[in-house]
Amino acid sequence: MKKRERGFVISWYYPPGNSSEGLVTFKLLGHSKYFYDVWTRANQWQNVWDRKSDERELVAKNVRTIENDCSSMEKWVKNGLEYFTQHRDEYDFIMSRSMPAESHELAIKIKERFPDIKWVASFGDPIVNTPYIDAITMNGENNPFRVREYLRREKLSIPRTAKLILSPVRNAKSYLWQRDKQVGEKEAKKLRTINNNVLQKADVLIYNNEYQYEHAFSDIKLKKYKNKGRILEHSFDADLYSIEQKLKNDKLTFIYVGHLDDTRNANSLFRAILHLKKKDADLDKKVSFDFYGHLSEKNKLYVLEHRLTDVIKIHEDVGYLESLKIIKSADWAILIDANFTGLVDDCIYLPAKLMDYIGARTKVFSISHVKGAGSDIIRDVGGGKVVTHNADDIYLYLSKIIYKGYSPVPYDEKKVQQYSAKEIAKKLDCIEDELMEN
Amino acid sequence: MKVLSIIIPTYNTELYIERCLDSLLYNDKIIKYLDIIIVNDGSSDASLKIAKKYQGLYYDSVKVVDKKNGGHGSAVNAGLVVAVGKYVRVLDSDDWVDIDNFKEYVERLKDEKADLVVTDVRKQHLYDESELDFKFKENSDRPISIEKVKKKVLEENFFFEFSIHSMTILTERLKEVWGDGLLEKTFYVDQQFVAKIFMCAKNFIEYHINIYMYFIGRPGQSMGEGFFKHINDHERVLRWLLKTTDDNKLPEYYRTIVSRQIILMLRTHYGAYDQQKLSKQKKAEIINFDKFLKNNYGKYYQLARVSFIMKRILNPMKDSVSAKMIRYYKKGER
Repeated sequence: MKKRERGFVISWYYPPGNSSEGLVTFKLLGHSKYFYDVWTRANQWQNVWDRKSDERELVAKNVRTIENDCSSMEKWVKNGLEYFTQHRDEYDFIMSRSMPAESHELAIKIKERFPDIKWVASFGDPIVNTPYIDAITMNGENNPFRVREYLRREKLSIPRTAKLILSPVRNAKSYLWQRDKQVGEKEAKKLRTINNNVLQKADVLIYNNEYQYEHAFSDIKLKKYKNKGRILEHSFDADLYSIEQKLKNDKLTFIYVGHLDDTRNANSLFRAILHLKKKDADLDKKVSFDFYGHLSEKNKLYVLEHRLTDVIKIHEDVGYLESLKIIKSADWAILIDANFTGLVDDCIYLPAKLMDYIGARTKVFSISHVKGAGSDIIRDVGGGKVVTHNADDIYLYLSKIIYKGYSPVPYDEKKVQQYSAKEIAKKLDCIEDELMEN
Repeated sequence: MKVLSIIIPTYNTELYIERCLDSLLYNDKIIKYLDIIIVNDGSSDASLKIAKKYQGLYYDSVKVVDKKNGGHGSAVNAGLVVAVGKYVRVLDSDDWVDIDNFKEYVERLKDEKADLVVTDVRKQHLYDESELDFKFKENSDRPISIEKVKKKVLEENFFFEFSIHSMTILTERLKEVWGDGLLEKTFYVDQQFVAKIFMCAKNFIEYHINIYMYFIGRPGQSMGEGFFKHINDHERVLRWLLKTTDDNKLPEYYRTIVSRQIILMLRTHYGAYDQQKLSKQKKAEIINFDKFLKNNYGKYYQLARVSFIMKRILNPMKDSVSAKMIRYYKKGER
């Protein structure tokens, strides 16, 4: 009997660390027919993306983790290369998973040292040419502290303009901004180099949705690699939900589980809730909005300043399995994408939590671009409502839900199953079978 | 009795039309007063299917007109033919109404006597999640003579205070002046719609409530870059407006109001002249139009010229009218 092939998976995030990217990888690999060794970082909480919980229960029989020092990315990459070099014979292929891009960086080094190794590169999110990365690297931004920018914003008198030109505070701000931009540009250049190397050297490129796939090859110079691309959506794992039946809640419950920040925020949702509260003093008796995980300080302050604490509850982060219980027991689960209207037409991101919501058969209230990966899936499988980031739009549908008993088209069970971890893992197996055969 | 006909021109807005209809049908108590006319303008997506679903659910208040594609104007024309409400207004299928204010608005329309009702518009900018309200400042509980609008036309926000999005007109009155209706397969016919209202309305009232949620942020909207693509339509509407000023049967105030409309449109039209995105052929067409204007409507030609220069001087940073165009005017290169 032929031995089952083993892959060396490079993923900075993986359980027991709790992060979206790691959980996506766990659900995918755990249902595959292949064996995997996951080169990951030791479970130390590094930043806000690492939720502060330990997912020791998440173990897959076919997956072994090799945790390594994560005091620096460089060290983690260097050690990974050494480890792989010593164990080269144990592996039939490698798989690298971003974010972060350093996973791909290690794969590039392995491929350079062992050109015969097959390589599957998987992009959780694109690492170049995206609004998120542009925001981090300040790509395309003009220095807001230049005099020209002040003049663009408002009409200034000649004496005020002269004062502005000579202002030491403005000059200092301008210098610091420029310095930060240079750091950002260096980072952007590094990411571009990694991306181009991955596209050139990997045998298969995985994207989690059609929009992302098209976006990745929108640059004419990169179109030649398009035929390496495959689409593998995120998934839900039906075995991980511990509650079988939905419970009847005293009032309508909306929940959000996961990370929000200044870019992907709840601004318009909170404005809509405030509007509802102004119209209905008893709103708290009818509905609750529970947020589990990180929220921006601005959002937290908004809740306090507008006395919304009776309706909006902000909770500590919870573990993944606990989050599934919360999702399952809620009436509606909220999905929020970043608002990139004006920068991109469609949303190229597919939030992993959408699949957990669908797996729980909980109704999804999605605040997103009208067109995009998540929005298309919701419309296809049913069970949810997509609204824009506009507060009045959100208000309209929250009103319909709370006061008119609005309910979306029910879930289409057959379509839901397409996103089960077992089905998605089958697609991965096909990709890897093809890779092994060629 | 149907109090309000709402004409909804619909073209490939399957992702938006439900919001539009859901907002109109939110308040059960007023549904019976509504005559919602969804005019499917040859959509190739599921817009018609969605429209028919709502027609099935609210058969007494929603009707669907299905026609070949002929543009926004043709859809309004088709809708007006079947409109039976006391008043009529137009609502684009990607926009929607404020659910709280809409009920009050319909209730008030039941006993309204004015020819024209003006409501506020909330412009929704999706890209920065901001809103901008356009309100008319006239304060009166009783209808005011339309001549008062003359005063308003000198103010900058004219387009939104008196726009297709803010105006509700007596249906029979509008039908009297409708004639050939709006131009088909043409953008910017909303200017025609406004002009037609001023042809027939003798008085108006302002409700000081936000009704119309005007949505900015949908890909493919005719605003912004689309202007360069549709500049010929802009010229067609301009020519139509200019022609109406020849009609001596129309009251004097009509000419004053429409003049303001024409000047603003001319400014936008010429502003496109040295934009890089505009082809040479289209630039030549602007020059030809300019000659036509000078030869046939000298008064507007002069007014437009003053308007360009003043706008440039008063507001140099925000002006879309190019310096090149001003030079062109100053030198009289024609």
